[in-house]
Amino acid sequence: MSNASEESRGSAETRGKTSAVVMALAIMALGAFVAYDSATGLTGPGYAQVGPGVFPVIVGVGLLLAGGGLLASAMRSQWGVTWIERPPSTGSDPSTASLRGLMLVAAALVLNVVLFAPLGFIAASAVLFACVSAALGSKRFILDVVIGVGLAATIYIVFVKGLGLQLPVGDLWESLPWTR
Amino acid sequence: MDALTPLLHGFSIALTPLNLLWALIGVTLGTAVGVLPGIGPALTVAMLLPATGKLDPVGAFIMFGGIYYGAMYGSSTTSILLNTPGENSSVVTAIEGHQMAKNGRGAAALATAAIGSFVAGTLATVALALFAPVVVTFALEFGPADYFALMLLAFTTVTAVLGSSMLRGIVSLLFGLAIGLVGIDMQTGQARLTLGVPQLFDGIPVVILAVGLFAVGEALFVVSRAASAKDTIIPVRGRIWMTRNEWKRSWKPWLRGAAIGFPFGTLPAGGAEIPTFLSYAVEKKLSKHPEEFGHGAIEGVAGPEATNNSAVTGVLVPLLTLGLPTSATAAIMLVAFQQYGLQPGPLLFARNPDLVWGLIASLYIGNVMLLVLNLPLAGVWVRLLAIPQPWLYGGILVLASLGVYSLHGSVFDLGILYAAGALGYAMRCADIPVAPAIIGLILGPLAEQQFRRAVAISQGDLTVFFTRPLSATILAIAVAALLVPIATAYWQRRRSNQAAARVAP
Repeated sequence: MSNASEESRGSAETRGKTSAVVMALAIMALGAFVAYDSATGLTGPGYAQVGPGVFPVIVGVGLLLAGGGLLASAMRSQWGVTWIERPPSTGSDPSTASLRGLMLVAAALVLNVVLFAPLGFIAASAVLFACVSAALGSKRFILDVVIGVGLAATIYIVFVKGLGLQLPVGDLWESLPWTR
Repeated sequence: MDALTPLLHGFSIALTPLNLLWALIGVTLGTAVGVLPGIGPALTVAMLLPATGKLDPVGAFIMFGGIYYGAMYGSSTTSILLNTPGENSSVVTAIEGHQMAKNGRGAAALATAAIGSFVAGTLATVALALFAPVVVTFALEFGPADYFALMLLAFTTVTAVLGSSMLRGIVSLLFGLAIGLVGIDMQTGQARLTLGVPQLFDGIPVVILAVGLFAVGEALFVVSRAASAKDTIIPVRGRIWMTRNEWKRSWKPWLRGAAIGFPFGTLPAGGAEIPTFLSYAVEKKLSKHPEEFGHGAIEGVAGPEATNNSAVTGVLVPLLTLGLPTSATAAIMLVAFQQYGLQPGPLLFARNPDLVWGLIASLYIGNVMLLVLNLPLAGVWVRLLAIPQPWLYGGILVLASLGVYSLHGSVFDLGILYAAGALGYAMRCADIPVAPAIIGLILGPLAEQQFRRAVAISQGDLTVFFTRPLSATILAIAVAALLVPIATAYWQRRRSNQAAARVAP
């Protein structure tokens, strides 16, 4: 790697360490929850000998132990979590660009869940497509939208007319008087 | 051996125009996803599952098979011309193949990869046709305890083999197992880990999780790393065909690759990745020109590329005869079987001979198609990489959402998909491999079922797993698969402790 990444390694490592510790603790908490929830909430085995709680408790305890192992290696800085990486020598502040891109994609995914039924498959997909493209550095937003609409419309025709799948047309369009 | 009769029957099914069309679609799609980095055969099959629910299962499986080994052909092309392996199983190919391309022998590298894949794929299919019925007669004797032991073996080898750290592999596996537990327990009808959310009572569908972890997770990861170095495609130039000498140096690695790949594919060790490294090491050792390795030795392309195709065919042996997936793609194919209400295992050969033998016969046909598709058209496939990266990932996310939505027509599923994507992104950032989670998610419920069945039969006697010779043997291997790497790592660390402390803290 380049010199820039060598320099930033020190600070990146400590950041990665905090995230790793948090992640290890989260895994341990998940394990504790899985084990506790299954050990208390379920009835006994009956004739089956092995009840519904046995496997979840094993898995939960396993997660707890493995999370503990991760915690140990995170503390010793043998394992870290790198959320965002700055690409070597591009632009002024590439790591904020990556962060902005990530936020944009996250927003686009949430938006897709929200818009899927009201706007329909084609419009919602075009929004998703354009946002992801923009997040990955595309500067031609209008073109991205046009291609997104074209792609989604093609998929819609192939899957709905060809394969007989159900995709939402969009409540909004259906409520318009001239689409009835 | 009367293995020929069912195989001929299989050809009569695979050679119908419709099934030929499915094979062609499969190998074409497979080559395309093999060429494109970021999407692999497992993801492609997962995204196609909802769309194929209404198709005839024979045609669907012929297509899925084509995608799986088509991806092995396609990924060699990008390894050689671009130094960017489309799949993990072609990482080794890039070492020598890209050097060959730089030396102006790219066409020869592509040729030896495609012909080697064809030779090995065809030989492995012969082995599959001969070997699978033998395993079936053997597998009919298996009881629940033996199946449980086999699945445990798959868990341990997958975690020990995939990824860079066993601990992280285990975490991934346990994640998958935990998610697999969500939903109503089949034996007692009690809800487990559902938090009272009714949409979770049926469990989290494997397809949604797989697409989320692979496609959405990968897209988020790529965005967070932004575009770094631009790849340069080396145009195919120089003599198009392989020289006499290159033929002479290629045919033995092809055969050795076929011999190495197939048995590794049948083992629960994560598919085609490991044997390619082994093949490379073997070719380097046996070569008369070891000094050429690292500078474009054709053996280093011929061997591993033959190996990965052979391994992919080997993967079908445990999948079809035992219902045991040994790679992520095989795991998704197991879900496909479940979607059609089919249970792979020894009885599949008796109950659905059309499907099994039609699929096996289609492998021969698909390999011929792939040779034709890849040998003269390699340059065309590389053009796929001209799709701008933003549009590629935008399209992947649109297709992933489409596939998941059409599974149940539920927007709630889209939410699960994106949550799984966030999980996949976090796992990539933490260097936790994704494949063990998929295997755990799919095999976990089956393993629990077999475990409880075995203990119910033995009336609560847990020693049943150690008193049956077969399950005891398999369990011993499983434990060894976990402990041997730990022990070797421990001894290596002890030996190099002082030296390592001095060089790099």
